Amino acid sequence: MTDPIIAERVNAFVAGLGGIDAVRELSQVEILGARYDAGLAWVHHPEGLGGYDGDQTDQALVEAALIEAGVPEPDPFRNPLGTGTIIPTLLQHSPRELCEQLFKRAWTGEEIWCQLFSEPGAGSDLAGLGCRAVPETRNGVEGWRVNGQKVWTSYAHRAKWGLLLTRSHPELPKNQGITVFVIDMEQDGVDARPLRQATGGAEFNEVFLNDAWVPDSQRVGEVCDGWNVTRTTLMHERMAIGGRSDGREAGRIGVLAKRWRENPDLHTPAMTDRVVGAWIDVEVARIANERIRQLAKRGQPGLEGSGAKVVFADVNQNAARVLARIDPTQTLLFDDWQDELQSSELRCSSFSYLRSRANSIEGGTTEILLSQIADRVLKLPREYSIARDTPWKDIPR
Amino acid sequence: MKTPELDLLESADQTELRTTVRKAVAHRSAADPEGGVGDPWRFTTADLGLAGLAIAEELDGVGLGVRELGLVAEELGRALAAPAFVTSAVVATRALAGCAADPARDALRGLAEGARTAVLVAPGPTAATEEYPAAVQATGEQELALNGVVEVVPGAGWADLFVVPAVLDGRPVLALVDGAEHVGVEVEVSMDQTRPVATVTLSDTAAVAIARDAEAEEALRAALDLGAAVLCAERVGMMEWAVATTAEYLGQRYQFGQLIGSYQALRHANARMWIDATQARAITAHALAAHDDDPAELPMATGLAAAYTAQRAVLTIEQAQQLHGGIGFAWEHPLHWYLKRAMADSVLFGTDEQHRNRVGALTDLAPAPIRAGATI
Ligand SMILES: Cc1cc2nc3c(=O)[nH]c(=O)nc-3n(C[C@H](O)[C@H](O)[C@H](O)COP(=O)(O)OP(=O)(O)OC[C@H]3O[C@@H](n4cnc5c(N)ncnc54)[C@H](O)[C@@H]3O)c2cc1C
Repeated sequence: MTDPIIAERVNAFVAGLGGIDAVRELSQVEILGARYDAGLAWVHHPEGLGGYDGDQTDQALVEAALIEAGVPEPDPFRNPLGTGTIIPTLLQHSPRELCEQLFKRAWTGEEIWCQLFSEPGAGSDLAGLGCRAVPETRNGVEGWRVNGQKVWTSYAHRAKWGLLLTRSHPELPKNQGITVFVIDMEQDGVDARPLRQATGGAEFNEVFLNDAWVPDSQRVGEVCDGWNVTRTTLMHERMAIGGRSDGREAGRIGVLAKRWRENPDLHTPAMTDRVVGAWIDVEVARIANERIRQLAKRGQPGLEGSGAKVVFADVNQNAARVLARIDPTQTLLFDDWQDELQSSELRCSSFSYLRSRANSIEGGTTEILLSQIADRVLKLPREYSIARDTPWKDIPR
Repeated sequence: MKTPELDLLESADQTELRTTVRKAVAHRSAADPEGGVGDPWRFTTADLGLAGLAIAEELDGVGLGVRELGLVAEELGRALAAPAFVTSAVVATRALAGCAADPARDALRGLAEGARTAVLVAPGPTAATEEYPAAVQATGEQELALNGVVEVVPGAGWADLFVVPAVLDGRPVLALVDGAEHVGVEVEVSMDQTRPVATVTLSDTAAVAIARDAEAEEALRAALDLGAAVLCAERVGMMEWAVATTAEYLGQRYQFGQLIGSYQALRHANARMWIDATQARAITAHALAAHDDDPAELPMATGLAAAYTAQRAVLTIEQAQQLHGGIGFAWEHPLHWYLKRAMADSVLFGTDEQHRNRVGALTDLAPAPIRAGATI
């Protein structure tokens, strides 16, 4: 069932490019660029920023209409943090000129983004971060000099831009002295060094910021309002990881189900029970995500997103564990201890298993999310912590 | 795989209905938390009209949809109120509604008035996926004589209208027995005293046939599946009760000079309970919605919701008991009633394992249920 207005938009878009055969001749970047210009990128964005002020729910309809018209599907992981969490943050917190400058190439994947949040001394306690920013004018332009270290920064080695959290005011309590910037990763003061992961590849990095510099025009939100900005990003991150709402048997569980059906010789009663159990848990989580999506559409999102992220980690990790064990021969093998770049769906089941172990750590650990639910939903008494108004510089570390 | 998109949220009207039921029940259950055990309409009054909610308007009922029946069951579950709602007003009523014969329609009119209570005479664990029950043999034509013993029938002790699946010349028939005086009902000492089970004995009991063959099978299947889905909603109410009651207790009990709710192990356990209740709410909404709007999805949706909620309700209430310490094990605290209900519910209208098997068969991941003649 295609919405006629959306179908018309999509048809006009294809016609404007000279018809579907001409579209098929274009590169992915060209097609995506044209979609952005036509307002068919993030449809709920304002005109000129990749959208047409559409309803958030139009997005899925537009994607479906594009596929139906024969437009090649883009790689959803071309710029995962850019499109998933950073652009929504910028849309909400930064001036229009900055958005105009950055959005299109983030959408097309010409410029990759990374999220410079975690530090060696600040992981779960992200608001305790210490990467320093001090005002400094360079070449007559107002800006900030940055010194510090980030860690576990996914894609930093390939990134053009980073969303950077800094400590601008150490004399204030930790949540109140943070300022956020968009930093150019391709400058002398920024050094990204890939870190090898348990899977063998290196998608994350440690990043050294050594007298790096950002113009004040690339500040996101007000000075010292960085925690507020960060919460927007974290919420989108949890929704992006936990709150996806694909079809039944999308993703890893689909791989598991397919492999199981194709290999009846592996079926034992005990393993059958584990496979069915994993399938049910994933499907329940999927339907619960669908409900969260419907709540969000109604403007009633709660902390269900955090719950969804916890559940996603649990059920996905279980599915990966089962997948890695249904064929005992495969349990003993691995495909490649170097390469990490191809999509995880093409990788062996042992890779999926290892990669899934990060699901309960990345994007906020399961423990931290449970604590958040205990505080904000259940309103339980707070855990012991140092006084909230302690200046950041006086916190023991 | 293509999947339907069902509306999983509540409308304003539905919220109003929920609020009405919750208010009506909360007052009475708070006033007498231990009271009314054994009462089919525990903590409710006739003016709530529970008996007629599922009955069509043309038969003097209210004709509510399945979503609405679910939210009523949820609010009743929260207080462990009106245990006969599921057995009489939902399951037996749905079985009767599946029969076109006049005696069935007359019986529904009687139920809608609220003066009577019905029961489906099948063992509590009977699932919609099973073969038609053969414990009762029928003889005769239109007027039947029934013979047989049916064990562990939930709600039979309250009933004066009995809907009996029976076999007549090897073929399925649904029979209606009017009046408790014709039936031997022995209420058993039951795990769930708020919804006890009974052994029903029929010896040359006079009955009328209200459906035969495919109509009888379909009426029974629909009743059991509706029961399974509505029972999920009952569990959601019980789980939310456990989450809230536990949070409240953790916020008032001191040990080691601190509120125990500030200990992380307990905070996290309570948060997990909340997450499970949230998931249970979603998967139950999906099952109820499928009953209303998507018959093709109904078997899968019911199987999923029953398998998930049956297991999680037990675990959630067990956890609530653990987090209450000694008081949670005391008879004076209401927790044990919830624990017993959750455990008993986990086998009603199909055990959680049966529903798991059903999902396994529907997805082609596991062999179909073993019993001969079973449908998924
Ligand atoms: C694959 C991967 C990709 C990542 N990508 C990025 C990225 O792109 N950008 C970025 O900024 N970061 C990234 N991270 C970092 C990630 O956000 C952090 O690892 C995470 O927030 C945890 O911080 P930590 O590693 O310092 O662990 P810690 O905070 O030291 O935690 C150690 C353990 O203690 C627990 N813990 C800590 N505090 C508490 C508490 N108060 N109560 C209970 N338990 C507690 C944690 O749950 C954990 O189990 C990535 C991580 C992974 C694994």
